Amino acid sequence: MAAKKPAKKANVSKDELLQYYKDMLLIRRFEEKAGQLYGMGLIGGFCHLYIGQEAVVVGLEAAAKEGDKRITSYRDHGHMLACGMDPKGVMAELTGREGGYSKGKGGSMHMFSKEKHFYGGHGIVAAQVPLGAGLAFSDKYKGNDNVTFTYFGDGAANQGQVYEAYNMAELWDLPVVFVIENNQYAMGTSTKRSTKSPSYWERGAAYGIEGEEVDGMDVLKVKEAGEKAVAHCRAGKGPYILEIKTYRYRGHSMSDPAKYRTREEVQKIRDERDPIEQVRDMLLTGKHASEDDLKAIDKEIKSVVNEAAEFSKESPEPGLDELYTDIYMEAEA
Amino acid sequence: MATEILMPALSPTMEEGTLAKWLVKEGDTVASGDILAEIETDKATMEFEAVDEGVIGKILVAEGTEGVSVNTAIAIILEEGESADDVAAAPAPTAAAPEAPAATTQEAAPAAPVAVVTPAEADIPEGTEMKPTTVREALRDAMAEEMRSNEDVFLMGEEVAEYQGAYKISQGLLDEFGARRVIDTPITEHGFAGIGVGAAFGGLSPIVEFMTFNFAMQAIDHIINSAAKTLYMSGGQMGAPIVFRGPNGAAARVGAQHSHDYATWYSQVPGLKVVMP
Repeated sequence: MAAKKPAKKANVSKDELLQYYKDMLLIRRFEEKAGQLYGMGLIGGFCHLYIGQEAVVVGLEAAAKEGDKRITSYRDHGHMLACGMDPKGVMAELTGREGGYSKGKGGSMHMFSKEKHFYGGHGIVAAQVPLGAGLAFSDKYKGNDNVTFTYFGDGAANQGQVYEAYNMAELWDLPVVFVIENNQYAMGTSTKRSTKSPSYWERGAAYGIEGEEVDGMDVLKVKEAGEKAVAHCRAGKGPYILEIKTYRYRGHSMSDPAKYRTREEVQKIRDERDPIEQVRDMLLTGKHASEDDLKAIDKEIKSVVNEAAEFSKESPEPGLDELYTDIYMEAEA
Repeated sequence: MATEILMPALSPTMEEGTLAKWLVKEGDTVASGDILAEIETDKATMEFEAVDEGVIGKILVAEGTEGVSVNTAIAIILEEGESADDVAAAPAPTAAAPEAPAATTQEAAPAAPVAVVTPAEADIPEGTEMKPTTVREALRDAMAEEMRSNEDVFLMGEEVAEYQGAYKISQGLLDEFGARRVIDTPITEHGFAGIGVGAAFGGLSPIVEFMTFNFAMQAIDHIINSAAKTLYMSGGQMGAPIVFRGPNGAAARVGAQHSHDYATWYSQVPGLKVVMP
């Protein structure tokens, strides 16, 4: 189960490692619970799970500071938990309840938190890319040094608007980190079947944008690359691209039987490169934690997730009158 | 044979203009491409070039003359061997000729029963001081007023800054507000509409100009899916306070890709407010 390569003597403290372990484990257990609730009919509509990709958001959040913004696609639960949004509010939105972040009117793909600077949750593939550049525009306009993490997948990377956004982001030196979460499958279409230019980050060169490829199963490598990208943006040097090689264990959505890849392919990555197992291994071999310590963490996280699930069942459904609110801003009196 | 030089239409909407300055005088020899005069249209001062070659025989409209109708003869070019005296004897230029059929059409139109719609006077508070202006200036003044009172309002779009607006709506705004707040974009409607909506998410109040709403078809996803729906989908937590503006609807002689009226389309979308003068 353990990572094959010995982890290099990373410049990371015990507390940091434990934090990454907890953050990634929370996402995984939360997503497993969401899958279960979906199977029970408590979550309807679309539901895209993040299992396998946890190190991407946890690593990048470790490179962020207060005030930084994030925006992503519809596979968004992990991003919300990683930036500190309340698991109860997220789960209750999944079940379409009043206690959800969008009062039950957004669902799995559309949640927002001004407080945590999380700007969605967008269902149109790649739309979040110019939106993210626009968030970065707002920070540059205001003259602060905040950075926006704009996440999108390998599928979105073939959309034209990504390159319109690249062009303007570089032209105007916008402080945006374009994060390509390359999980190798755009729904059921592998990268091999969708492009002959599979090194997505290199496409930025056409617009003068620097970038690099990152091992997205290794949270420390993601954090390191994130810090580099963020420093570039904060120094006023414009955007930066991180193509993070990751893998989703589950199907595209709940209804995906995943016939486009083999069981063995998925199992091999789970066995050899799992991001959570890698950190667990580091914690144990580095004697930062005992098996018992980790069991205690597991237990603690399970209870957080169970509480979220309970809350998401107990919170009432929104009233019918909610259909007619929040369409226009109420005029200020 | 002498050739009349006619007052040109230098923009699609120009009906008359000012002959600001002659750059040639009677007796000068001109070749095709030489600049003959400067003419002020309703939007700008333009140079007017010779098409025919010859000698300027007579200048019919003096410089500084305002309100010269399009197609009025403004000068006469002579061919070799002709003299200005021959021209003087010729019948007066018939500038009015094209107007005759136009006038007939105009008279014919109101023959159909037309309900004369007067603006709802009740909407205008009593005692409001009225001031003559053009729609173009009114739009510009409205934007300038908002920009003066709110630092978070900015304008972005194609040719809004240095060119002073493709249709001169933003004339003068760059000078007053600077390049930080009046921003020329590349020709990339989908992208800059998205950046505008993102900036609105980030707390600014953008005005995004489309050169015409026909071009906004490239950006309609951001107008509807990103801007209009977010307030609802966030349960009222955040929306996109943004103005998309631009000319819409019928335009003269520019074809179907430049004259579509989208007002009713957008009026169907919850979360959008459509205003059309």
